[in-house]
Amino acid sequence: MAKSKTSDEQIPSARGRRRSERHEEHALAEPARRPMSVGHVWVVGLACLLVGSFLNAPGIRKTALSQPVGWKRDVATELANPLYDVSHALLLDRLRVGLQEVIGRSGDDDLDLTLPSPTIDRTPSDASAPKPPPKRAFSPTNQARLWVGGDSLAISPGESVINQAVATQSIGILRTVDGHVATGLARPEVFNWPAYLASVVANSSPDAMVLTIGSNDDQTMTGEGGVGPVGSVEWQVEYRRRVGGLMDSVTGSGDVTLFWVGVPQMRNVPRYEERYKIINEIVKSEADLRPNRVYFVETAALLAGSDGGYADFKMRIDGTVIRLRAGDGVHFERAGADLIAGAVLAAMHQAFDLTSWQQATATTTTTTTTAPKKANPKPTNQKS
Amino acid sequence: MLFPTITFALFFMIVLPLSWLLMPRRRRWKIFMVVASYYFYGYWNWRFCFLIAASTIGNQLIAQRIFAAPTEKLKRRWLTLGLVGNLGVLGYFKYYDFFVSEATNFLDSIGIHISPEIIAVTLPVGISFFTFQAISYIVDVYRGTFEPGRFLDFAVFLSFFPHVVAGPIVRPSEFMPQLKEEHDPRQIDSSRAFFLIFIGLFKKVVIANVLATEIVDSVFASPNQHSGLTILVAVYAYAVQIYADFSGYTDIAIGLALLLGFRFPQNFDSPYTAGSIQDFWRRWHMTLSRWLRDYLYIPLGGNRGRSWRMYRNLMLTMLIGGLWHGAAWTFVVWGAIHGFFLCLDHFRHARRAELGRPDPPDTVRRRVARRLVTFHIVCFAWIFFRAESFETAGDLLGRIVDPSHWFDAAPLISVGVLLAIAAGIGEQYIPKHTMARAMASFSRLVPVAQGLVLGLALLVINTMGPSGVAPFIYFRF
Repeated sequence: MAKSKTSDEQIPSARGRRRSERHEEHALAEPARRPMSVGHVWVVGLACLLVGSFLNAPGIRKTALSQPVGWKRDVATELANPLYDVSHALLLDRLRVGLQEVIGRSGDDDLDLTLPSPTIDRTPSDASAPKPPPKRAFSPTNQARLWVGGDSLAISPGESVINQAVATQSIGILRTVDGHVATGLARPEVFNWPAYLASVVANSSPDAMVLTIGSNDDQTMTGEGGVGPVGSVEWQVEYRRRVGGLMDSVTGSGDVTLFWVGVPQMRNVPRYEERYKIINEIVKSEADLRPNRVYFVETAALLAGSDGGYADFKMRIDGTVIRLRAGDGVHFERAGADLIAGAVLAAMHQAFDLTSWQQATATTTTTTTTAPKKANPKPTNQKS
Repeated sequence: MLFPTITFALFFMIVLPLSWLLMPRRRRWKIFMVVASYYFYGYWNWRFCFLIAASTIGNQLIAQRIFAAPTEKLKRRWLTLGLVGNLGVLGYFKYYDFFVSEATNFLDSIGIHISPEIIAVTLPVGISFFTFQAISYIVDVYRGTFEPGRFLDFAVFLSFFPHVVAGPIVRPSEFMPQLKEEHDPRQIDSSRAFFLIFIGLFKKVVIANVLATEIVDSVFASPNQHSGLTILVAVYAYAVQIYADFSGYTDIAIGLALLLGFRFPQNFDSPYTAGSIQDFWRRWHMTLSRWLRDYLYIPLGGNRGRSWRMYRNLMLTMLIGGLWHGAAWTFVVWGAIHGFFLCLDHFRHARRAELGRPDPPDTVRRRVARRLVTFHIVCFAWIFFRAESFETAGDLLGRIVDPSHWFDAAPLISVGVLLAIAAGIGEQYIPKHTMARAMASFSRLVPVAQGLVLGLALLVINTMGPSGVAPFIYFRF
């Protein structure tokens, strides 16, 4: 609390006094600032924006392209493209590129608009389909390497997934939640998920990936095969291609199991009913075409209220009230995130054998009658 | 509308010349500024413009009634009505969910089961700030220290876009008289303004956002996945993040107001150089601490009467200050920790005075030790402020003191994180005269050269900051 001048004012030492006196002299001798007229201030602002625009032209071009599709994006792109051309021709963009290299963020402004297509045979499986392979078993000494990421809806549930996954002791975490806000499959110029996930698979060799995208995809698609409007037949065909292509590029090698978290209900009910339901259905049907490789994690029913619709709060069986959703009616509070994480973990138990090592340990303990050795609690917290 | 965006830059480039052009015609200027401010505020959600408009009309009417009331009793009644109205609106938007769910859970724990209709109330951005300013207006009128201004003056005061969202909390006596002053369009303290704006941008976009995305958010969400060392660094990082975020915002706000010809009070004064908690509160969010002092602590009795009353008043003020930040018990604990150490400071000084002992000499070693101790007390309190729950806070603290996890892998402690922490703390130790000299040198450059320097600064800020602009932390308070 700011109280009036007080008893704790110190008596300065001789040395301190000299210093404070010097400071006082400096303060008294503070050089005068030259004031400026409003016209000059405006010129400074304009010059600053112009210089800053040319120097940051690659970033501005990417920002312009990342705008929602519409006239604002068209105008922004029309302005940003020549700005970038001039900046590039005059080598002004080299400063930004150099700075990005220094701070290890090369490629931030790159644009990759290509998107892979599905590679599987799309005929539905029948009775002659091969028997599912045995579950891959993991244990504290042979942990499943887990990657968790996605758009902004991935962040809180992803953190909960990490907490719950580590508790199994059979799952090690590759890195903290790899969240990229306002991204999805619709706009590869904003963030190209297939290309990025391919690099994650190549560099980190995950066994399991929990991916949450889709909530930003209810818009006209851009990039290779871009089409609109959202929800049209053409749009659905292209979105299906992108979803299937991503699933195959991630799980094609057979080493990675993908857990795709669906879009939950939102306070904006028509938006969910008209758009996200379609997205969920496409993702679910594509996951069904890739049994044992891709699991669709349903969230809509999980977070629904007693009437089956959107709910901010939920009453637990024990009678306590928990808040599931953030104030925006889209994102999650911790309790909601924990519920989703529980569903993801259930899917992982379905896909993997994460517990048989406990029986083996228990058997060993019984037969040798030695004290149980604590399983390695150390998280494999390696950054990819 | 967020300050560090192209949209705001364009908005301000239009508002700045128009504001100065209209300045000689006061009434037109005020109407223009209210419209511009409402546009700025309504950019988040236009519906909230009705809230700020209702607050303006309601508080102006109350202030006029208080001023015109013939008796003290009547004045008090109007004041009570005003306070109830302001706090009621604030309570509804900010604490409704919290109190209803807490009450339901409490009743459930004693065997009374109810199913109240809980609705998620969307918190209007900056409601705490403009409500506190409105309260200071009607209280000052009640106390007779300020006469109610004209309606348009009050509307400008409450909605003025540089401070409407996250302060600084300006008093009517500081701002409204400036509306009557002559503002010379040839005498703008632009170099100071530009320094404040660009240092604020750097603090927010680079320091605060890097720390949030690189370490703080992950560690506070999943403390058990990180080593004790990582958690300790993340706590320091959060201390720097919240300082850089909030002081960055107010630096920009003060700079923008200066360019428009208005002076705002200082809000931060190198808080992590404080040598005691008392000193910290003279330096941290100064406009809130003096608001709490003048409109809460002193009305509660301040340091009058017996010493236990002073301690009680201090604790109450800090507990309420904690709750002001958000509807969660963790904020109350944050306030309690500060309140406890403030009381301890006072007790120590009072005891020393009673015994007639002089304060110990202010040696460099003692000063460093005091600063370190104060910084760590503040960091300890930040753990509760940032943690989502007591369980998370307990996990964080448990991990810090548990030596078995101290040196686990620490991939989040990167050079960038350490540099950002060093920059955030180092900035507070830059001597004032060094900054003054830099501003003076800058002011002597020709306008185009100034623009060039600032353009280069934009390059650094834009390139080094993480992509996207995170909202300011204090927007939700």
